Amino acid sequence: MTQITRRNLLNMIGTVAGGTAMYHAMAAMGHAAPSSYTGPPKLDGDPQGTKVLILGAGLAGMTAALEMRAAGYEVEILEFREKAGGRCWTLRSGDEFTGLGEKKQTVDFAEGNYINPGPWRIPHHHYAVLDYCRRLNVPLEVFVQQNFNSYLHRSDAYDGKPQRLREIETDYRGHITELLAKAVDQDKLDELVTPEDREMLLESLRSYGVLDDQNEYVKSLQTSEYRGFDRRPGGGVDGAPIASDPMDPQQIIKSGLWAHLSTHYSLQHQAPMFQPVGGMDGIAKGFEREVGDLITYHAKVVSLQQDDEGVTVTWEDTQGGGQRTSTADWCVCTIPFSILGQIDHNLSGDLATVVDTMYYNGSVKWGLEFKRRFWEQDEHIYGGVSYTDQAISEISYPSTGYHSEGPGVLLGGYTWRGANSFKFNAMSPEDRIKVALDQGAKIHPQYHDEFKTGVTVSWHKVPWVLGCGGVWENRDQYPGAVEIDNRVVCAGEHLSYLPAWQEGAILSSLDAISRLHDKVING
Amino acid sequence: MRKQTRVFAAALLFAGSIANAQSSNEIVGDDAAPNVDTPMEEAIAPDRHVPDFGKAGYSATDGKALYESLCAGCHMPDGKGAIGAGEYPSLAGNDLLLSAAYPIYLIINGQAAMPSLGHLLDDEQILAVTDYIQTNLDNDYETDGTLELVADSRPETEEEMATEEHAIPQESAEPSAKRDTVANVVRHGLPNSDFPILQAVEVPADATLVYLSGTVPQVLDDSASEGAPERFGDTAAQTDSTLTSIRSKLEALELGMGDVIKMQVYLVAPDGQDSMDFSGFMEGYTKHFGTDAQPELPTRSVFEVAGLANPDWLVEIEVVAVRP
Repeated sequence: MTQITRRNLLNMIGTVAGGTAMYHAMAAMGHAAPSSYTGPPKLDGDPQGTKVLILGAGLAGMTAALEMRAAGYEVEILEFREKAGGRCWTLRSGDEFTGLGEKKQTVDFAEGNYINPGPWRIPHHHYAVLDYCRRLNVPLEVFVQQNFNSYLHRSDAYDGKPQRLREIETDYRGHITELLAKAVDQDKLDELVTPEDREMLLESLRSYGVLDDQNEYVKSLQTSEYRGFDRRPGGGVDGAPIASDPMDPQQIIKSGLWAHLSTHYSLQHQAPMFQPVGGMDGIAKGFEREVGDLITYHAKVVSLQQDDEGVTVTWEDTQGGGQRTSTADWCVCTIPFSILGQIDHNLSGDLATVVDTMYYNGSVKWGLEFKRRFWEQDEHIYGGVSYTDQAISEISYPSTGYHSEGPGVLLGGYTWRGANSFKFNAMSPEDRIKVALDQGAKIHPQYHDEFKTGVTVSWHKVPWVLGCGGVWENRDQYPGAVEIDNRVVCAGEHLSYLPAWQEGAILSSLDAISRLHDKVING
Repeated sequence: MRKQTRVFAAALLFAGSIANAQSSNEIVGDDAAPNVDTPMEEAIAPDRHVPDFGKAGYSATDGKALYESLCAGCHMPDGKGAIGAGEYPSLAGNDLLLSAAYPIYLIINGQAAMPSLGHLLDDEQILAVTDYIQTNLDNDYETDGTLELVADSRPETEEEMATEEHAIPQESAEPSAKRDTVANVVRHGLPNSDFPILQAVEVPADATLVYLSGTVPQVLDDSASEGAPERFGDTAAQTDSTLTSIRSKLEALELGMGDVIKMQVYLVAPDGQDSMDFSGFMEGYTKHFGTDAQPELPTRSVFEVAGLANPDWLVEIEVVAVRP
């Protein structure tokens, strides 16, 4: 099919399905490359006891600590919190969280239930995170991202009734391919399709869209094999399946529900995805097993000063009281810039500018525990994500513990930047949970009857980061910000092209310490 | 370029006066009260505004409602901010709210950990919330914001920037003969005073303004170690070297010191001194303004601040120039 280039195909989709479909097709065919990770860094050469001070015991800091100690450095880590992991964090029964200005929330989940307020899923191509999970013996399980039985919901579509992803996805694809097939069949695309290729293209469209031999997407047992039946194939007397009616194409286009289809096909969400068994902080604990002996907790850094000889960091012991000083030859600083910008430092150049100007985006999550797993018992949803146009944006079902009796925990909402993150941020946790229950009940009417307890985290309220992830308006100063500034190099998700992903934090750290090591050994 | 009326309320308010109180040029004040332990029942008023989730962005037009459904998330319902590993600055009793220009600029463009919110709010909403924080949260400032000021504080669109590029001569044209008489800029001196600053300056709406970032002193003695007073010199020397840098930056933009119409000066008290060295600053300043060679004067404010980015710096100066 020589003349059907990728651009031609996109043009064709754009022609027959409109710009929106083309946009999503393009999004689905995204250019993003997988992780650049090729294995642990090779830090050859003897640093001869050179000391490195690492600020922050999140994944970036602990990666640096693990690798640099292994390479022969003396390593000290200062951590503000009482435990390691940073945003790699899990809330379980008995855990407490107090957002800035908020009342303390004590998690009252049943034993074994949890919610990850921060990162919660790992793409299969985040090679660095996955490799550290392997090396640190952190067991993984599949995280269900795309579930064809989950819902798509918009308040103004289908009378506000949630639709199964399976039906929207199948019917959308069927109708689109029918349009395209008709255009080809009526010779409207002759300039793009050679006569030899024409039949092959039509055959592919019939296969992809489940079209009949008239190139039409219609009610049939064949299409029902994809979109579902009115009566599923069974056994015995009434075992014969009954076909279902496809939805009206114009209604699907108008519904806007297609907006959620392409998410699952973006590189960062393609199946399979993974999660650590028992909670994301399994990764934090894995690192902590290795480098926990190097960490001083409850250390609030108040000053970071460097000169040609080394680094002096002043910190407050927020538990024991008093001010202490740590010195080292070099420093790997993974403190989020939302915090570092407020610390007395003498960083310079573009790095100093970025430290002092980068802001952190808002994001809000809910962990809602219900008395029973009604989404499985009543609606046959095992893992995956339902999307809605309401402020909560999405509901995600646990990818573990299927069919277990007793309470289950949903991700009751997940906002990412935008006005809704700010609105929820300005609400009390109780009010936030009330809104999440009201909105969730539009999708699952069982919500109010079955609700047991909940916890909610708004990242702008999290005392130790003041936001979810560093935001680059543009990347003009990125090259300067990742450079070693005399004796200090900064690292973290904010200094990567995978912002707010754990992979970005680790890749940033590995790159920073490799360059730092080279400078130590080779000058 | 958008027709604009530039408002220099801030400069006028401060012109000729010296802020007596210790203020800070950074968003984070020293007075941000810890709020972590405040019980939520007390922190949140019962008539708290509940946001309208049915609308994209913000639909409220009332300043209080906007504050409570947006700003209060970080600055807290009582405006007193909060402290964690970092902090959210207190807006309550914050001197920086004296002039609306500052909060308006920050709300639109963000600063440090504060996100830019200009895309979420229209001009009326920004003005409403600015009025609210100037007159509530333990503040009792006069509301001096205007819709024009809000419009002017928004970043220029690409279209505007493109137009502006055309307005700036691309080639190194010969120094303009009109340089000394900037067209249509009217400078009002201080009445009955020879103190070398202006009381006010009028800038026509179609003038091109050039904002320089804060400029800091140059190292005078490279052999002096960091922290040694000789390295950057005293306040007079630091002022002189800072203004010399500013002159170079202006010249690179084909501007001169005579084009400066507004100046903000941040001074740190020298080691061992209780307050800033104002006379030292004036010594450096008068070498560059009101001289025979350069007689023009700007509007000006001088602040004493707790500290600057480098502990050795005693001086940081921002200027705005008008392109002749």
